[in-house]
Amino acid sequence: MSLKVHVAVGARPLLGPDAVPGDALAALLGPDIAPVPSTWAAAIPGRQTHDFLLGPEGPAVAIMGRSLVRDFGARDEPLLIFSHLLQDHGEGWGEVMTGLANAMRSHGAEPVFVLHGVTLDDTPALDGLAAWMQGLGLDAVVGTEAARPDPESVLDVALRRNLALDRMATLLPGAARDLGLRWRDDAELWAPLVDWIASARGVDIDHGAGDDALRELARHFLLSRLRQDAK
Amino acid sequence: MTFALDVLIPHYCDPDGLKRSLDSIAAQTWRGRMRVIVVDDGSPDHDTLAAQTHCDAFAATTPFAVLFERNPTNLGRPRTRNRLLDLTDATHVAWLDAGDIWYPDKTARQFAHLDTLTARGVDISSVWVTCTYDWEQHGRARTLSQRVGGDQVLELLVGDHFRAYLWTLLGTAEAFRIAGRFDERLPRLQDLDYFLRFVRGGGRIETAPGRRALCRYFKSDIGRNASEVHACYKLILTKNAPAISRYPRALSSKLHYKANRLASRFAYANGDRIGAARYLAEAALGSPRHALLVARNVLRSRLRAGG
Repeated sequence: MSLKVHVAVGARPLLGPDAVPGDALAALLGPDIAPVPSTWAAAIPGRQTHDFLLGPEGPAVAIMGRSLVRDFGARDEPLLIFSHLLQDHGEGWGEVMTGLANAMRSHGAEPVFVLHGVTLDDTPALDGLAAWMQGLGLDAVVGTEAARPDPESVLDVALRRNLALDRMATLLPGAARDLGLRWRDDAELWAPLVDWIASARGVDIDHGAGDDALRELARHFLLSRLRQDAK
Repeated sequence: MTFALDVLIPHYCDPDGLKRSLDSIAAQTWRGRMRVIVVDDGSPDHDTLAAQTHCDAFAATTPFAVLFERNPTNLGRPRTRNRLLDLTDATHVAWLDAGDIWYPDKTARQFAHLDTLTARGVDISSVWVTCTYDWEQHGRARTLSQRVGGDQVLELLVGDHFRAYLWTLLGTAEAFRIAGRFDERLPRLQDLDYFLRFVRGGGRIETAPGRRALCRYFKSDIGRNASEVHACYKLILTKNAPAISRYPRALSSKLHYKANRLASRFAYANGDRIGAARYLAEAALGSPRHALLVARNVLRSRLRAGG
């Protein structure tokens, strides 16, 4: 039995690290496609990313492989969302993809990975990714070359918000230096940054904000970190 | 064997209830392969025909398969449930009684919980997942959660916060094999016996997280034979006597009180006031300490409510 597994990829950081509305993305890619709910691993109601499969703790890849076979097939085809597979495919991602395929095979399903490029402007180059997957012995085909959400749709806003957060993240080192802080190259502040914005109820980052506004926001974020550490 | 879920439904003389149950299955958000198996327990022809028509409509309008079977005569709930067990060949099993309903995310939430347990390293081949449920009686509903922590044999026997209801369950076929078959000597309360056998056989019951109910049970005491209920309860207590003897003697007294109290309730619901009084008297005389405790608690709650 073959099972189509749809995989959404895009220019980093369009699809993450802040999870995107899974149902809206699935609807953009085609009928009868549904995002894989992974509430057992990441409880983000209505928003999905499956990046946690890279370097997971415990048997997450095996569980996901089993879920793909068990939880889909009657109504919809599953959709996985990998925010940086397109740019970073290499050894780590190779283990994830082959691990998923092997887990699905052990439960009686032969996966066919259908790649979809999600974009706001350029067309992502999916052929190279498909060829890489085929080189791993996987059945991979290109589905949608360039899926673009409708302007101002829920998905469009979410993707632009991710881009704004990424621009803000690139301004963090400079903002830190301006405050007299030393910036470590290995600093990983993405997750705290996303949480910080999410905790600001009633306001959200403006995806059209200029660099000066984002730099000011970055400064406030860093100051909030200092206060947190001082507690 | 590929992954699939078999939903097992016994049916007897309630085609409208069966339709309600099937509609709730059709609305499940879970997207996997599912088959519904209905065994009609020898209902009259018109009810069987109506039930089969509902099953055919369900198969035609959903992506799910249906298997409809009929007992040649009315064999009773435990034998019908055993026939359902014989018909299943899926990797996972869930139960539903005709007339009761699942809320749309029941299956998805319970499967997700099985995955959570697997991620924690739990062997799910000996786990059933129950859930919070709505209990509706006389048009009024209340939400009841399952307290699965602690000694599950004790909690099931006492039944105050953890109740043996088959229609709350989802689990692997392997896990259901631990409980074996339904005791055909138990026309009533076979759920309790089945749960106790599972737990005493090494199984563990977990509950899907969350306070929200995932299914609804429509309770009725009408038409249930009080003496049958009483005899079944006593048989379950006898079968589990070795386990019960491990606990303080007060538990045994409480359970015998409960058997009579339950029979009294069924007798009363069916208009047999003399029978109800007789069971109540047996409860009080057979377990005087527990009867006094219950009376004291009732009095206290009434005084509190009054003042």
